Amino acid sequence: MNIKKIKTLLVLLFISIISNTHSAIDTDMQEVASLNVNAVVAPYTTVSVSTNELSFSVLGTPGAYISTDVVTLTVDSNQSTWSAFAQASSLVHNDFGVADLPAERLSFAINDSKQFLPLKNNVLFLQGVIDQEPEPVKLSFRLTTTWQDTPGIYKGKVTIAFLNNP
Amino acid sequence: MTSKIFRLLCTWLVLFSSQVFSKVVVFPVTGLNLTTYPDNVSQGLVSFLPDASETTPVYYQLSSFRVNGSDVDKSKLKLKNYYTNGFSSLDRYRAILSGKEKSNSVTTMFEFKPTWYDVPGVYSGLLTANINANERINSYKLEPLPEVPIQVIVSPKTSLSLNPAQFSIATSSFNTPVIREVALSFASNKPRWSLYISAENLNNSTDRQVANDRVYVRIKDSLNPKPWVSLARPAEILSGQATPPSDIATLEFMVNSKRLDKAGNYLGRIKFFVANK
Repeated sequence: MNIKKIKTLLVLLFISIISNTHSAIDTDMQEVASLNVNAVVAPYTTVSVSTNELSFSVLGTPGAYISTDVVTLTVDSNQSTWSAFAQASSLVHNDFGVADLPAERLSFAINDSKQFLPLKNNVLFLQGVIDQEPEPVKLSFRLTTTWQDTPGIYKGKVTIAFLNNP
Repeated sequence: MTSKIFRLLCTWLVLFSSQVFSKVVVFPVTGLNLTTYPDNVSQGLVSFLPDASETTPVYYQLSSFRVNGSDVDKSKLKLKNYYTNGFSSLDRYRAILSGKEKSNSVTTMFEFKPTWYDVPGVYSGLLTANINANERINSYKLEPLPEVPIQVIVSPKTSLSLNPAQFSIATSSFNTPVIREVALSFASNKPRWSLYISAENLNNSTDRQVANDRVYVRIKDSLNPKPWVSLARPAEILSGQATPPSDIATLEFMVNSKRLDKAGNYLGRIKFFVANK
């Protein structure tokens, strides 16, 4: 017990000596020069998508068909707030002269939402701020077909755009 | 403090008694007082006024010159007057009066230029004449010549110049660091010193911050790179002895990046401190 107390006292004494030494140095310090520093944090934005191709297997009667692929989108940026937009073009039939499937027939939902948003114009679907770890967003796409649509293969493009809001 | 007053009192008494009994009067009565710093020439005037009957040449030299209890090279104190060829060191007798002044005073200029190796402090000395009091009285039947106290204060001085004096640096990682170099030219008359560096937090215009613990420094060593040292608290990077202005090191700086740092410019200062050892 006594040895333990002595050890504790010795430790406290040692800490006291160390702290006194530090304060002696601190009080004796004299500023002699300074250097102006400008640290530049370069802007960056990364947008990644899990796939660059979507397909719909429309094999039954006309109706709403969900894409077989789910697109996972990840946005990472250090520039103020940012926004992500989606837009689709009309789907064009492989054969010339067959009517397109208009863009508004395509819609999409975010994560597990059941609410599908039409892809007619630039649709704002995601906003972010800095100081936030990037979280992947799952995008499900839906195509609605009608009895008037000619059978065949239609191709189009879904564009995901990114905008910084400085 | 008491001993200083006592010393001044004694000096005054000696000089006062000299004025009364001697044939030479010195102005100012307190002697020579100079204040200077390394590489700076400090000069002061002292007048010697003989009376008409003083016809013997008078020579003076430094009989003692000390600082902090140690002797100082007496040749460092110099004088110039009508009888010297430019400034002459006072480690030997120098003519002050020719004996032909006929009551005209002779003004003598004293000069002291400390080097960076001269320790800061109060340098005290005494100018004494070539003929001591007994000899003047017994051999020449003249009054004793006054002694002239000398006091030179050498102030402590440390200078550090940085090249460049400011820099812009992109934040980076330790794997691929973006480095900025700064050359240090340092001088100090302190016998022993240590150089410390610390950094402020770097701030952007919207109060976002790169904390100072992400600012790093090391001494440049191309062959054997040293580990980076964080500037979160003052870090000792160099130490040494009194030195004239010389290039002592080149420092390398880097600022560690974080993915969530907002893009932009972050401004702040890196400060350099000197401490006596």
